[in-house]
Amino acid sequence: MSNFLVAVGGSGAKLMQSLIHLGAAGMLPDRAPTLSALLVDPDENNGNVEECQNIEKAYQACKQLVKVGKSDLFAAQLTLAGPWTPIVHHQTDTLKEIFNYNQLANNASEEAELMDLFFERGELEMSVKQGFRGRPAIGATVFANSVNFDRAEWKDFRTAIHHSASSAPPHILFAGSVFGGSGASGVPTLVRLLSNNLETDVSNARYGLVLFLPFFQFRKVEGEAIQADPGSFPLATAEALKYYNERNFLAICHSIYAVGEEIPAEMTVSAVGAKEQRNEPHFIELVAGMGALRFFDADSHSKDYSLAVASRQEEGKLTWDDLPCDPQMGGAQVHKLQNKLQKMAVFAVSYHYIFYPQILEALRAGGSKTPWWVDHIERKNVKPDDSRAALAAVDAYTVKVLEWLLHVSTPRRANFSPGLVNPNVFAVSQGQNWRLKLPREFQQVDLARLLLNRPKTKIDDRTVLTRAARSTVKDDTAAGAGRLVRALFDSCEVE
Amino acid sequence: MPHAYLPKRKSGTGNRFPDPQAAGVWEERPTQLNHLAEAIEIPSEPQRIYSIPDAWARALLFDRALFDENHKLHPMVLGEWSGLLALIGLRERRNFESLTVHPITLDSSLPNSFSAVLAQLVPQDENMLSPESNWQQFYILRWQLTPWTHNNPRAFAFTSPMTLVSTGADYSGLISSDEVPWFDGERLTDPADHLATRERRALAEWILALSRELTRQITNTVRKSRIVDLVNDFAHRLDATAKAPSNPEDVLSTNVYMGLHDGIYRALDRPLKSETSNTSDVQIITSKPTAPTYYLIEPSLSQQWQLNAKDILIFGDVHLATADRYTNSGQVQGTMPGGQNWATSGFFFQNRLIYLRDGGVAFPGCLPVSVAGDPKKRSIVLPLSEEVLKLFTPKEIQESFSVAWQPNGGALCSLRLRLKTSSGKERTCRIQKTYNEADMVLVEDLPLITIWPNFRISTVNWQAYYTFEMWSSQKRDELKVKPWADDEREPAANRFQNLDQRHFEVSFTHKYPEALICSTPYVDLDNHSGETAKGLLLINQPEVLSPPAMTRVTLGVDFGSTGSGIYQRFKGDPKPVVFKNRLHQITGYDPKVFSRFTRELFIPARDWSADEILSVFQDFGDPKEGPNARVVLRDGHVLYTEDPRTFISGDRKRVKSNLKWGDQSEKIAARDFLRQICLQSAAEIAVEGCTTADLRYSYPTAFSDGDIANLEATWDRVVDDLEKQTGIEFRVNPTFLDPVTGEEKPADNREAITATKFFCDYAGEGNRMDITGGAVTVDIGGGTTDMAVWNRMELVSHSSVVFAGRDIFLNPLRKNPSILSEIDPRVSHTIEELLKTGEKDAAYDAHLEAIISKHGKELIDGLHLQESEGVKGFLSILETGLCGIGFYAGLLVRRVQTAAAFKAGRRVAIFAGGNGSKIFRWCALGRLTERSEIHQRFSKAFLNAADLKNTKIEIRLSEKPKSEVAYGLVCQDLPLRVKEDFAKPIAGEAYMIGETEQPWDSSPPAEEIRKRNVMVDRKFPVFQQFLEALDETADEDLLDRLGGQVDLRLTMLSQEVANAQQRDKKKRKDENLLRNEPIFIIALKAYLAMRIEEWARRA
Repeated sequence: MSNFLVAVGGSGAKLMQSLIHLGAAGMLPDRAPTLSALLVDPDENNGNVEECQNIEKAYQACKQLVKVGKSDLFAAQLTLAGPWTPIVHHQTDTLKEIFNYNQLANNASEEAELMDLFFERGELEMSVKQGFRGRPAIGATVFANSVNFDRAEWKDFRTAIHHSASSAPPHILFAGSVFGGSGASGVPTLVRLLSNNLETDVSNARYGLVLFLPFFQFRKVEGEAIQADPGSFPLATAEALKYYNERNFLAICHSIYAVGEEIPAEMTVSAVGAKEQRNEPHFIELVAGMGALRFFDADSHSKDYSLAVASRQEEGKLTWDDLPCDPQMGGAQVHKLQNKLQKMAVFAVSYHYIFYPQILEALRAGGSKTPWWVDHIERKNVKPDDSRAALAAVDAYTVKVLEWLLHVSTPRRANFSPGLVNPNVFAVSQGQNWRLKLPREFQQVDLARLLLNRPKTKIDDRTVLTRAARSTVKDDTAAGAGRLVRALFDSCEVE
Repeated sequence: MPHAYLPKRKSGTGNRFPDPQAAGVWEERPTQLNHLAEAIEIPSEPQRIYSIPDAWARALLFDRALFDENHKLHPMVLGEWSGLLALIGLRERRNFESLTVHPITLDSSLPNSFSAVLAQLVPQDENMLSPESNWQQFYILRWQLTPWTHNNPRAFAFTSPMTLVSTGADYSGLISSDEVPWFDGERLTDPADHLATRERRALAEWILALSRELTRQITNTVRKSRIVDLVNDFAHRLDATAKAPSNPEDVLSTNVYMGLHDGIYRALDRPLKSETSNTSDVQIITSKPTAPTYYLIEPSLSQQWQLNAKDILIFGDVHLATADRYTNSGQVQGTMPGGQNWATSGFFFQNRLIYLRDGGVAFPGCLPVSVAGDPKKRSIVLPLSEEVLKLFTPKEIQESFSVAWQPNGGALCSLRLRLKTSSGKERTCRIQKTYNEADMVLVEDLPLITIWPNFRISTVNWQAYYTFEMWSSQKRDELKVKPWADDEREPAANRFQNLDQRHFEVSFTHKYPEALICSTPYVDLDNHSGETAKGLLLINQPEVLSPPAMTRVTLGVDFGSTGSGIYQRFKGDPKPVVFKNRLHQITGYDPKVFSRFTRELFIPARDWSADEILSVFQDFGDPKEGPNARVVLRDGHVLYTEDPRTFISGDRKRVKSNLKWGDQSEKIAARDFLRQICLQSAAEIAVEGCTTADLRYSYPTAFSDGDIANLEATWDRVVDDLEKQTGIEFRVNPTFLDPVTGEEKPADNREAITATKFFCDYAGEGNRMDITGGAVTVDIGGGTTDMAVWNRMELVSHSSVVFAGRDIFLNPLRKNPSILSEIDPRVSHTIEELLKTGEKDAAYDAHLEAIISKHGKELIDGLHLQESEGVKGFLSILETGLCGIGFYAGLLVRRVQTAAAFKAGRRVAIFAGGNGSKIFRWCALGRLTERSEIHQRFSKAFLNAADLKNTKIEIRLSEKPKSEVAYGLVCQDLPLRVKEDFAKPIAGEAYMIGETEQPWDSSPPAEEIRKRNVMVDRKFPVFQQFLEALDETADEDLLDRLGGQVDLRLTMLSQEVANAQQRDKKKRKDENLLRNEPIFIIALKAYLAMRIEEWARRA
């Protein structure tokens, strides 16, 4: 069984970011910890896509350099392709250019008349290179016109699905926003086109949707004639949901996860596309990720063909218990799942602020007296210099995790209290913005305050350091610096 | 309370999507996707929707919004859907030729094409309206803006298997809002508010027919019931009482097919049929059968009639509420698609109000209108457009127009119109316009405006009316008028004249003007531009006369050299025609000024006897089209003499006086002179009921054949014009039944004969002429003297010579007019006026004639007191002239007596008539008796020439000098016999043809004159006899001088003969080629000229 994700647009990419972190924490289904994702965006330079790729690269660096053995850490087998862009010809910019409208119109062609009927004049002349700016009909048209499952990324993606289908039903998840441009247009179009395409040779595929309903907003961009209007998000959302209903998507998709927020976050970056469109992570992407995990693990649990929605206990807070799980899961299972992410949080803070500074010092000094260095490097005859890159890769990735956790915990909205981790432990606020603390700013004792709303065992720096000093790795598949990382990770166990 | 990871949702019943109850778990909602969609709270402000992620978004959105009453876009989309159906339904009725359809079949194989995209994503909804219609095939609807030559058809809508029809995503500007008022420039809207009640009813019936057809065609589906409900709702919105036609054919067009041949769209293929009858509530009623039909667009009508604007039908499908499609352009009138005319109040009213500050009656000749309020002594020109005259009679306009003066000085002008409604009934409407001070244009100097003649008549087709306008100031454009008559064939033939700073214009129309279209310049202070204000004056037309039919009338026209006269006879004795004052005075003017200007430049504003007309014409010059395009009274007029001092107005060179004998320009003037006096005469007999008339005109025997031919041609033209203009049929110089023989004979209107008829017929103071014992008539005119010798009712001889009053009387006066001052100092001022002119031209002659005409009697009365040599000399000249005529008459008698054709009794009566006969009175110092010296001298000269002994002469002067010929033309035919044996002229003096002597009673052939073979006998045997009769002697020097003068004249005549032969197609060589100017008369003229020269020199 394999899992596939078609992450469309910025929101799709951001879901993939969450899934990377969740996968890194070992939260993908144990029996199929694989995820093949294809990023789809008309703007291949989209900041969100780029960030997703950066995280994936950081993750893959760890996967490649750090052999931690049989552990939740870095357990997921992730592949990320794309971004595939439907803008086929780089010279074309507008619908008119894509379909040679002017020439058709001059020849009094019906084609031009059909375009006149189905689009506004401004839409026909809107540049689509950087997305569809809240005009999903344009996107749908562009997608439908350009997608070819026998070419490029799609061919590989389709082949992977085809191959996996022979052993188990492939789970194919599509994700994107319903109120924006690229995701809104790409998700339903690609679902229909891909499902139609696979119909002949992949009969057992299960399709799912993660639909991002509005959860953020931004100011209008000066000088852009056509752009997504946050004020229109609610109406656009309603219309899109009706569309999914009317076009009977629940007959195609087994699950549709709908997530959104009543109080939208204010995004700091306002841009219609390109690198400037790099939105900070939001906890709703974590929630959506929980839905994706459930879809990937859904064989035995979920009812077919349903809309899935979830809730949290308090509007102004997101706690570990608010992360939605399958209702069929028992409490232990839920806690186990929660613990994986909690452990990753503790590990990220510990590694970046406690361990890695000491590792750097050991590498600089040629050695260290700390037990975990002695036990897992020196006694194992691991050459420090050979470990340098792997250890640095882990640190780089933990920074990504910390940044993600920070923004998940501090959405840009009023009246919200962190409920998962305490951002003050590893970050400092500067007005509306937050940044990660420098190692020298970090207080080790604060680690005890990291996990919030944890009624059970308290994890503090002493505990982690003590465990690290005593840790042993009895997993032969762990090797090199991976053994050290594994030991340190194991030290961060929260239960 | 758990809080959902969802956007804000509606509260209350609008939200059927319950929040997940447990935090931290996924809740399955198998069927609630739509509930979630509906639960999303959407801000209230209207928004466009772009969130359907499908190439078919427009169709899908349209479908969703149309059927979902709660959808934000439902009202808008329902409006578009309704508007589109109305567009199709009214395709024929509103003549939407711009609307066409075109079938579309999607082709998925077309690479990189939008239709392939559509085909890939085509909605596979089984819940279409009907299985036979899907998205693979549909129609697009196109609209082509006018002008079609500049615009291509553009797709703006399409048929839909889900909603029947759907509009495109963006069709702003693609449809004409003028033609489709429910298209707001961006999208179609519900048409109900834009349709008239009748049209709503008709469209509703068509919609109901459509509903029935859909019900029949479509199998039962949920969607079917929804679309049928919508269709029925639409029909109900249009007209709640409308019912489906029992037979669809009653409403479906049989002429227009949309081309929707397939599937459920067949139900839309036949639009609503056109109305069989065009109806309106605002058809302007007019009594004029030829008036164009207009439909009034007056916004206040709704208030006036207390009706909703939509229920006031303008025409066809346009009602008052939607009429702005026509009026938006700012135009005040135009043509509707069917060719009907529409008009707003602006069509009727002018932008400016012309007024006069005159406190009196500014327009006495116009129809008065109702006035309310204090006009502050202002008179107005009706501020109505010329077009109003095509719709209403002046009387209707007068009755419907009113002006109410406002306290602030403004004028509220109203026009009441009668409108025919669609029910066939009549309703009234009042349109108004207020003119503030800034909208008023002052006319400072009221021009003189009058119309001639002042009658309309039913018995003849009178077609000659003249509108005269004269400006008293330099502002000649003020209140310029153009006469208007309803069925006038062409614009008034007007001509502006600027004569010595007299600015006037005469316009000719065939019909009596009903109105005057006025214009006056003003400066628009806003634009700093020169503009023209316009308005109407409604003429108070005279009642149409229907006089009882009149028996045949005879008009006799004596066209004289210095004076002319016209007599008429129908019952009783001949009488001079009296030209009545037939001027219709339009503008209020001082009577004296009015009278003066009209006489000087047009027609006198008083009665005028037609025996007091000087043959003087004021020629305003030819129009640019040439002399043949001249219009009588417009291009010149008869100068009627009243006060010689003001006789001639303007350029003296325009005065023509030698009409009878002059050159080409005088001939043209003569023609127009005759046209005018005949036209005036015709007016007088027309009002008496005359429909046919005899017209007789005379000519002197002295006329050459060429003169006669010219005269006849002139008269032909005059009479031809006269008949066309007056509708009176004229018989010119008709034959007559000879009372003696009973034979029908051609008219003989030679002046010598007609004058005799006068003397025979007229029972004046001197009793009727008795010619039974022989008599001679001498008609001394201005240019010729006609003489006739009668013997027992038989004309035995007659002749006419070019020697008359002008030679005898006027020539000395021309030389020395001051003699008249000497005779009577009271005329000295008049003479001074005459002398101021300097040049002795035609005007001078006319002026002189006018003085004599006016003061003749006074001068004669003053003669007996004068003893000066000058006066004596002057009278002596007159005596010589008269005696010369008497002598020549005597020669005529001698000839017939020698031939034994005449035998004188003991008394021979000489009847002297003509204007020149007054010279007898001059010479007789007032009263001619047998004792008068002139009587004796004239008798002696006559008897001497006639070689009569023991015969007494009795001279009788005419009681009506100058009227003899005109009278004689119309008097009863007398039993006269005319012998032509001695009608040939005589030379009156011995002469030579070559070396051969010729007797005095012969006449030199013209051919010999041309060859210069004719010479006078220098001994002047006859002329010497004449001088002896005057007790004068002729020395050799005198005879030699006379001989030279006569031979010089014969030489000149030689050239005239040559010229006449050149013109004469027959190339005749007889004597009639020339005017009769006997050698004796030539000698007499020369002699008299010498006498005058000598007299003048002494004076």
